[in-house]
Amino acid sequence: MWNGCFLIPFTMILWHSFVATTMVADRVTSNTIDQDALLALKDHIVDDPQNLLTTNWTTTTSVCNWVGVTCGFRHRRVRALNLSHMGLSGTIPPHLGNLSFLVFTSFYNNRFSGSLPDELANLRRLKYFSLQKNYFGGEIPSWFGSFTRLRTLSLANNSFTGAIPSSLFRLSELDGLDLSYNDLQGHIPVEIGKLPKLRILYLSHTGLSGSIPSAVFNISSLQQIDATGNMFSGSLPSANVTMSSLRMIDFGFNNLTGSLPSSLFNNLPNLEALYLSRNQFHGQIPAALYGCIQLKLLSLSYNNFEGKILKDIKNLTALGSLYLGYNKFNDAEMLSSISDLPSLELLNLEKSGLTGPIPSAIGNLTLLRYIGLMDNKLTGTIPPEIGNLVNLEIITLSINRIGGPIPVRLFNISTLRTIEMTGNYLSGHLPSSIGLQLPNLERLIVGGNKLSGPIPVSLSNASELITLELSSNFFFGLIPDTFGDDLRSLRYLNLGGNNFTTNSLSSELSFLTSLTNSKNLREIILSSNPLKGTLPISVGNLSSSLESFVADNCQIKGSIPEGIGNLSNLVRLSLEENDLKGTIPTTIGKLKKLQAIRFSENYLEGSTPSDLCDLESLAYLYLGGNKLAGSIPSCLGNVSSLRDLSMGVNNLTSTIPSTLWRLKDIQLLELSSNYLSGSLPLDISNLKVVRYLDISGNQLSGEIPSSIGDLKDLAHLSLSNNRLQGPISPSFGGMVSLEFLDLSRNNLSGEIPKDMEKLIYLKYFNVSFNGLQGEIPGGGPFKKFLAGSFWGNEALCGSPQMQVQPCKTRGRQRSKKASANVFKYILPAIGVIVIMAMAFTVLYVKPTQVADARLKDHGQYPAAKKDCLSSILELALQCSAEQPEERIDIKDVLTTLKKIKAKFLKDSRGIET
Amino acid sequence: MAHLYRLSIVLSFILTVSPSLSTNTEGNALHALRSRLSDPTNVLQSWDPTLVNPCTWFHVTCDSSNHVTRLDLGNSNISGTLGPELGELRHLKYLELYRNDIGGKIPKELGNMKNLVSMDIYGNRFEGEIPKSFAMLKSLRFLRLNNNKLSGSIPRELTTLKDLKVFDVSNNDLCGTIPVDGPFASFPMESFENNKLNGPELKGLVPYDFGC
Repeated sequence: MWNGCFLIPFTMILWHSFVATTMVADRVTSNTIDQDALLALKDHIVDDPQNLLTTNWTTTTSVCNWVGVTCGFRHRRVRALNLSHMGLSGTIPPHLGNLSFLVFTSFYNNRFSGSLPDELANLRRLKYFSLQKNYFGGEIPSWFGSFTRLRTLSLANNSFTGAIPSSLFRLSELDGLDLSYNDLQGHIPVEIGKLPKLRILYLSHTGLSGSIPSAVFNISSLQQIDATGNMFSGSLPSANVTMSSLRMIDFGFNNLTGSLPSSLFNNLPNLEALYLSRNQFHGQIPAALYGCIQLKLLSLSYNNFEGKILKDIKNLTALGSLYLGYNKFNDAEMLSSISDLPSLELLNLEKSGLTGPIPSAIGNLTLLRYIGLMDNKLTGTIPPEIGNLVNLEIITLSINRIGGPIPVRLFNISTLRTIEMTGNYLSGHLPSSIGLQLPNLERLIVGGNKLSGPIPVSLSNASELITLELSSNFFFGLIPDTFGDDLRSLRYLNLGGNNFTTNSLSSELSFLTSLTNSKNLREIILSSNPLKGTLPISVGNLSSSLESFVADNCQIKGSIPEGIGNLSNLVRLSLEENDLKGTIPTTIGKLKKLQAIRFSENYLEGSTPSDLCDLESLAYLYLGGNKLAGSIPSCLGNVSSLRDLSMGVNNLTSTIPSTLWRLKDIQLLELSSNYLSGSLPLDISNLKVVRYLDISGNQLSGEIPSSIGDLKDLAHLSLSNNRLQGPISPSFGGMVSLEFLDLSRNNLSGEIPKDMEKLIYLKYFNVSFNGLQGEIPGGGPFKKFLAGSFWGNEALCGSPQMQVQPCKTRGRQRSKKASANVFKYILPAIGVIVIMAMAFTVLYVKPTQVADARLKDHGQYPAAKKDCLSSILELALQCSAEQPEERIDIKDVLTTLKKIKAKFLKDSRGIET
Repeated sequence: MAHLYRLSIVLSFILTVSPSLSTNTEGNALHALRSRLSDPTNVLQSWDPTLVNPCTWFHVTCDSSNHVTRLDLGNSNISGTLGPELGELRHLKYLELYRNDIGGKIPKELGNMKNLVSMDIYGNRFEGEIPKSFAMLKSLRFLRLNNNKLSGSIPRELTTLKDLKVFDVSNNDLCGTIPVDGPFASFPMESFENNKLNGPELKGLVPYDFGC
């Protein structure tokens, strides 16, 4: 394995040379300057948890004997100060600059903070200076440039800010520079190329940006460069590079672009590690890279590399780790080419566009410990040669199109820790001895295949097993009562979507009792298996670390055990679509971390316990389709974390608690098919983000508040089958997200507001069986609705397709505004004038035609006259109705007047004859 | 001293070996979001990155093809920043992050969420400009950015969002003039209150970023 600790020999020699100087007997002369400086430092220490300086740095002994202090032989001056790993907190006083003989200084791994005093610039003899792992801040002082002897400078893991001072690049002796993990800004200065002896350059996670200057590649002494986790951009320099010492390049996690220049790799004979993953490189991998035959690690994953891997890759005989995943390669032969790499131990080709079957040559890679081929388009079957990989620990083949059985030989590889093969077409059984053959097995993840057969009994012996994921297969048979006896490490168990069952129809789910031995259990998923038993009382003894218990659609009988309240870390509890009876245990109120309760579609009875209101993280409460009675607990309105509340299809009575309308973050409120009464309050508009609201099939009365129009996010609204009355407010037009609206089977009256034509996303609309009247709007979504939406409203009118009476008025086909004005102002005026004129004509003026003479005589035909006058007044009233829409059309006015006249004539003639 | 130099970067490679099923880019994007957020009330506790897809996570809704269509984290006590990876949620229709304590800039990559119908990020601490890339959100009906610390002008590109029904940038630090074209013809003045805006733009007379 490649190893990067090149500097260790150098630093160790340096250190030992100081120690050697102390072997000589102390001189009596103590240096008060150094003592004062160190005592000043001691004064600036605010926390010394090991009491090292407090007890040891005292004037009773020479500074040369103080812990962490080393003096020089000749002058008895402090030459080394090593305070690493002392857990000290404090700041550095300016006095420290008086330690003018200081050569070696390390504050590594303490809690010092503040900025560095300028007086430290006097420490001109410094060769080694490390402040790594502290909380120093401020800009990197430019006076570091005056330390002409400095070989090692580490300011890593602090909070230094600003740019890298260019003075650093005057340090002609500098061998190692580590500025990693700071909050710097700006670029790598091109002057970096002036450091003739630099071997180590660590700039990871500094916040630096800009391009990586080509000057970096001119430092012929450089052995390691780490610039990972920055914002470097641009492409790598394409000039010819010769760096015979370079062993490591790490430019991962940046925004570098372009293709890899061949010229970069022609003369890097000692390159051992190249890490370029998580950038945006594209293009082919240059053949020159395969000439870097010392490469032990090559990581190019998460880029946009394309094309093929050349067969020449087999030249990389030392290559131990190869990461090419998450690129855009198009190379059906890639796996074959890679199978020629004799030293390969770690191989990641996830999401690499692999197609076709896994070649049997894969069995050549006998040193392989990890192979990741997830998320490709591999087909065929797994070659039995996979069994040759006797060192294999991890194999991931998930999300491919691989069929056939898992080769038996794979289960002979006793080193295996992880088998991940979800989402394929694998068939056959798991070997019955799997738990014995694979003593190190930690993860068996084979969900979403076509595997069948029983759970191997030996699996119960897999004491290292952490994850068992067998979901969505065709496994069948009993889950043994002893299933969990030895699964001490188990955390995730998913057996859902199979055909598992338990011992007998009447018994309890005993295997759950055996799982009480799994003290780290976090998740149990059993859904969609015909388990048929009852939940044992021991469910309450399951690991308190359990976060998810999901057993939907399992034909579980009996009641929910009280002990469930012991599972104090439970976040998700789901038992939907079972045959559970009894009440909801009040102990559930103890599960303070619960975020989801799903008990829908059971036979639960009794009232809804108000203990549910104690669950202050509860977001999802689904209790629909049970036999719950009584009222909805009003305290649910205090559970402000609630997002979905579903209690439909129960026997709930009383009114909807007014507190529920306080749940301003609720997204779904489903209370349909109960016996809820009362009216909807104006406060309904508090539910600003509700998107699903169904209170259909209850006994709601009163009017629908017009404030409902404020619910702009509401997509689904059903209030059908209630006793609601009054009009549909024009504000309904404000519910712009509405896609589904059912107001059918109420006692609503008035017209369908034309404003609802604005609801352009409305797909379903039903107002059938109400008392609505007037014309059905024709614009917007109403163009699509069929007759069924409007049935059972006697007074609605509109086009024949709607199977309603035709509207009397036709004037409305004109533009809306114009016709409104005509209705509102002009028609009534004309109508009144015309009627008065006609009446005047008919009754008093210019007796023409037949009746006129007789009308002059007020004594004649009093009944006919009275009838005629009242008809005319009625018509006049129709002409001056408050709502313009309700006023009668002018053509109809004329027709009616003619009829009145005809009737009057007929009446008077009839009397005469 | 050996401590100056990390023993070996190989250790970090070993860590990447640890198997994970989150090949799903959308799950990865959400997990990246989670890593940027502080979540004192554990609203994101169910976001288990080892799952094949994020569809069983709370506050995440998927369509029948297991694509994430909703992210409902309104009023959830979360703080932190958003990152560019959120733009990977190409099927997202509803981005509901309102009333939290999320700061930093709005990533321009959110403009890649082509199916977005609603973006509610009001009531946070977002700063910087409204990304012009939002003009690519052609299905957008709701864009509520109010009660943040946004600055700069309202991008004119947003006037091309013909389905936009609700637009609210009130209580920010925006400048320039208010657009009048496209859907902006019908937004009420309350949507623009408490900014440094100069009123409706007078076409040809005042540049839209006048006063910025």
